[in-house]
Amino acid sequence: MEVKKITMKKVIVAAIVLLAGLLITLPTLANDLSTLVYGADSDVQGLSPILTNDRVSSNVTDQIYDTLFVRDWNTMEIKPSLALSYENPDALTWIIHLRPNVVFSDGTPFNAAAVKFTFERLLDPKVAAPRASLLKMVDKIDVVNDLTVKITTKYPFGPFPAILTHGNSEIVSPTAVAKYGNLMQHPVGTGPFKLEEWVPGDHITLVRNDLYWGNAPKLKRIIFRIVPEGATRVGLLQTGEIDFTDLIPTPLFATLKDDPQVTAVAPLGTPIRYLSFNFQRKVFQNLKVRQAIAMAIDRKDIVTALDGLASASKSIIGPKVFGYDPTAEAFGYNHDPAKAKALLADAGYPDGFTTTLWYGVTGDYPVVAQVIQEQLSKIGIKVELKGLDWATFLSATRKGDQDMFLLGWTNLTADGEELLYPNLDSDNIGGANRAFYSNPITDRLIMVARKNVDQKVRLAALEAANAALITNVAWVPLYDQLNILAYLNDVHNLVVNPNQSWILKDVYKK
Amino acid sequence: MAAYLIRRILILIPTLFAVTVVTFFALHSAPGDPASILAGPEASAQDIANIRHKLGLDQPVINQYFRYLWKLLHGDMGISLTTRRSVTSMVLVRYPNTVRLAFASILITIILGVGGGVIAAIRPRSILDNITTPIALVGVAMPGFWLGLMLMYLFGIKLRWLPVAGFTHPAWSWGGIKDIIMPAFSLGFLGVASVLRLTRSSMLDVLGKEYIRTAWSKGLSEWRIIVKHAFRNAAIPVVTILGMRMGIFLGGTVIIESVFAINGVGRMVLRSILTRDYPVLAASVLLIAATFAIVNLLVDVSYSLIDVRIRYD
Repeated sequence: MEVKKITMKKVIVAAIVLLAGLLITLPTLANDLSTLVYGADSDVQGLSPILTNDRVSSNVTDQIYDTLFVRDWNTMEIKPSLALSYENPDALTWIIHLRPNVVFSDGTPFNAAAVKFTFERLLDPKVAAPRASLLKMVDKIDVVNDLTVKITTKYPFGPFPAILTHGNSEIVSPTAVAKYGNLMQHPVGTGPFKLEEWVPGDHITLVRNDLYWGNAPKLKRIIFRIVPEGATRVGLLQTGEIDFTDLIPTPLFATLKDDPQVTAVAPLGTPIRYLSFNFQRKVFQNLKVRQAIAMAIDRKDIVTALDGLASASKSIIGPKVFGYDPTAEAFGYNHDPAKAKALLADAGYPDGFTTTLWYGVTGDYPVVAQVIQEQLSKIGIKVELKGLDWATFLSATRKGDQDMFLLGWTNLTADGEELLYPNLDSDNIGGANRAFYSNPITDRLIMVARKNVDQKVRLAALEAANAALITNVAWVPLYDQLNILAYLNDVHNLVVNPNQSWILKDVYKK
Repeated sequence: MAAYLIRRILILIPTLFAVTVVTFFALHSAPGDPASILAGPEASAQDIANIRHKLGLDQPVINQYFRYLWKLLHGDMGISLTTRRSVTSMVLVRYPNTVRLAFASILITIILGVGGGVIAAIRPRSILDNITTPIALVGVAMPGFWLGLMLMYLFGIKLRWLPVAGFTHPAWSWGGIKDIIMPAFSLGFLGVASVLRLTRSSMLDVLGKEYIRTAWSKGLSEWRIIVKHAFRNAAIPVVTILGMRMGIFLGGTVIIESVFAINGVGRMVLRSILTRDYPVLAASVLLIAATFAIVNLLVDVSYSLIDVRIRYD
C-alpha cells in the first residue's frame, strides 16, 4: 500500500489559496457625500454641556446645542445666536432679547424660561456642574417675558457676553431634562444636528435637525468615530475611511502635507503653553531666579522639537485673545544664558540648584520638558523630570507638590480675563492657580478687567496686567499652539476656530 | 466529573472576590481622583468639592467598597463616574469584541504555532523546520503594537488589501474576517514561537515512541499517524500553554485595541485607569479574570478528553 505523505507542495499550495482569498475584495470606502466622518481620539464623557467639560464632548455638543452669543473670529466681536441683542441699563443688569420662533429638536419651544432653567441648573451645587464657576457672578435670573431674560450679577462683570459664548453655557431643553433626568445620553438642543446613535467607545452618529432655526446644514450625518491612536487616525484619513481629524502627532503632519488627497492646516490658536513655578517655594520667590530661568529658555529649540508646529511667544495673553497687545512681547525675556548665569549667581546660587519639573504625560509636554531640562542644565540648574498621568498631575499640582510645572490653557471665550483670573488671581489658589501666585497689583488690574463693563477700560487693564505678569515672570510663556487639522480634499467649508472648536453646519463634500 | 466542575466553579467565587478587593483598593490608592478629571484643569476648588460629594467620593474608601460590593452581589455593576452610564451596558457592548479578538489571536497562534511545530517535527532539519524557528523568534522579539503599525502601513495604507483599523463589519462576514486579520495577527504572533517550539519538541518526543513505529509498520497513512496517534499524545503540554496564552492575550488587548481602534474591554480598562473610573475598572478586570478562569477550567477538562487516563473525581 502506498503511504500518503504530506508534501511540502501541498502546504505551500494551501497557504497561497488562503492568501489569495484575502486579496479578492478591496475595503469599501465610506465615501457618502452627505456624511462626514471625524476621527476622534477618545469617546465623549457625555452629551450634556452642563455636566461635561472635556474637548471631545464639546466637539459633539457644539453641533447639538447653541449658545446665546457667538464670537466672530474675524472681527473678535460678540455676535447674536440664540439671543439677538443685550443691553446694560446699569452695571449689574443684563437684559437679553431672545430669537423668536426657535424650537428644540424635541419640538418644545426655546424661550426665556429655558435660559433661566439652564443657567440655574448649571449653578445648582446638587447638579455639581464641572464649570459652575463660569456663572458664579450671577445673582438672579428673571423671566421678563417669553423672549426677554433679565440677569442680575452680584458685582459688575465685564466679560459677561463673552461667558455666554462658552460651550458650557449652551441652552438645554427643560422638557428633556425633566424626562431623562440629565442629558448625558439624551441630548436635546436647538443646534443644527441631533443624536441618532451612540455606541459607547465606538462611534456617535448625529443627524440633521430638521427643526433647526438657521440655514439647513448641508450634511445629513456626522459620524464621530473613536480612534485613540494618532498614527491610526492618519492611516484612516489617507485611505479615505475618515474625512477629517485633528490632534495629529507632529512628526506625522509632514506625511499628511505631502499627501495630494489631503489638506493639512495649522492655524494659530488661543491655547498657550507655559512653564511656571510653585511660588510657595522660597527659591522661586526670588525674581532673579525666575528671570534667570526665563533667559535660559530658548524657544527656538522648543519649536524645532515640535517639528515647527508651534508659535513661539513671550506674552501670556496670546494674539488670538482679547487683551493682547503686540508690544507685550517686548516685556518678555530673550534667550541670554550668560546673563541668566550672572543673575543666578547674584541671587545666591552661583552653582545653580536642583529642582523638579512636573508635567502630564500627554500631548507635547514630555518633549518640551526634555528641552527645558537640557536648557536649564546649561546654567547649572539640575532638573529632575516628573512626568505623571493626567489625573495624578492635576491633583498633585493643585495640592502644591510641584516645584516647577508645565501646563497649557485653552481660552474658550478668547477673553484674557478667562486666562488671568482662574490661573493667576489669588482668589483661585487651590483651584486653577497652580502657581500659588498672589500679587496685589495684578489682582487689582484683573479685578478692573472683570468688574467693568466698558470694553476699552477692560482692554487697558488686561494689557497692563499682562505686561506686569510677564515682567514679574509669573509664568514663562513658551508658545501659542497651532490647531492642527487635516481633511480630505473633497471636504469644503470646514472651519477650525482659534479656540479649537469647529463649525460643521456649513460643511459640504464635493 | 460533575462534582469536580461544581467544586471548580465554587472556587471561582473567592477568586473573583479577591480580584474586586485588589482592583478597587489599588486604584483608590493611586493619587488623583475622577472629580479632578471630570472638572478639568480650569475648575475651581468648589466645583471639584461639589462633584466629589455628588459621586460619594468624600466618603471613606472602605464604605465606598462595601456599597460597591453590595450592589455587585445584586447584579448591579454600578454607574460610571465619568459617563454616568450603567457599567453593565458599557461592558456588554465591548466584551464580545475583546473575546472575538482574543479567540482570533489564539487561532492564529494555533495555526502557526501548532501547525508549524507539527510540520517542523515531521520534517526535522528540512527547509521549513529551518525557517519556522527564526521567524517565530522574530515574533517574540517584536512588540505587538509595532508589528500592528507596520502591518497597518503595508496592508492597510500602501497595498490597501485590508481595512486600516476598526471592527466595522459583522463578525461572521467576509468584511468582519478582514477586519480582524491584522489585529489578531499582531497579538497572536507573539505566542507563536513558544507554542511552536513546545509542539515541535513534544512531537519529536512522541514520534520516536515504539507505538508510532508500529503504526507505520501497519501501513497507516501519514496523516492518520500524525493526527491520531502522535499529536494527541503530544497535545497536553501544548493545550496547557495555549490556556496560559489566553490570559496574556486578554491582557494584550489593552494595547492592540488602542492601535486598531477596536472598542473592547482592554481599551476600557486603560481609559478607566486614566480617568480613575473605579466601577468601570473593577467590572472590566472582573470580567477578564472570570474569562481567564473559565478558559483554564476548560483546559483542565480538555485533558480528560485528550487523554482518557486522566479523570476528575
